[in-house]
Amino acid sequence: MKWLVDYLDRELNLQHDQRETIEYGLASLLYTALSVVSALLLAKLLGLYRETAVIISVIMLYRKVSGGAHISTPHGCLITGTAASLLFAYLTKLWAPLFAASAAARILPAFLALYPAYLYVPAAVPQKPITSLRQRRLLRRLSFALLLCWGLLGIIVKRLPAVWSYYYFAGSLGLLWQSFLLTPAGYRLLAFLSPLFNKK
Amino acid sequence: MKKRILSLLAGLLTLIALGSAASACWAILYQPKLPEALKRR
Repeated sequence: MKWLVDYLDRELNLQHDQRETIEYGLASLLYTALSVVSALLLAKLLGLYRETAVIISVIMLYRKVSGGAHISTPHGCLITGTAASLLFAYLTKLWAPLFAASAAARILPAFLALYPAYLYVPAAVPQKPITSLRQRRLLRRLSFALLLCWGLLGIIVKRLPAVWSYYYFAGSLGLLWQSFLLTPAGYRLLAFLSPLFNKK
Repeated sequence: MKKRILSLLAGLLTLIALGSAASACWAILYQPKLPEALKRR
């Protein structure tokens, strides 16, 4: 990764601030792509590709606006994120045929997610504090808008073919997992897992 | 031409960095320290 930034620096005579910003953007792009691709590859091997794709999309989208707990290393993130999304994809395969069509599965997740959102969003981490009041307000509004859209989608999917309820169920598991990561219990869980991935 | 492509790439990566800084956190479970250059914006 560093070689690309060095190369851009040499060719474009970047200033220090520009270099830092580009390095951060590249890290964000690469780590995210690596996490998504590895989870999807494993999911493909396990026959859980579509469920995992829906779960990851919902988690990532909600996470961008709501924040939440983090793992301290990139490989810890890769392993934990992949394991969690595959677990929820598997649970979707198990539970969705039984519960996805029920009214509770279509309405409850968005309602349940409202409580942690009300209390903790935007949930910042020390590595990236959210100090601007304007940014906090905007992220809160976006989070509630997303939950509202998810709730409305739950009402709409009833009128759509059953496959929609199936994937809606998968997305709801992702939404609830991300909601859990906003809470102190979610922070404690990832703080407990983080040392397992630190080099000794 | 090469410089143009590299400038475009640098611009794209800057845009991604700014987007990341404006959001609550990264979309994945890892979040490195925000660089000073982005904190000042």
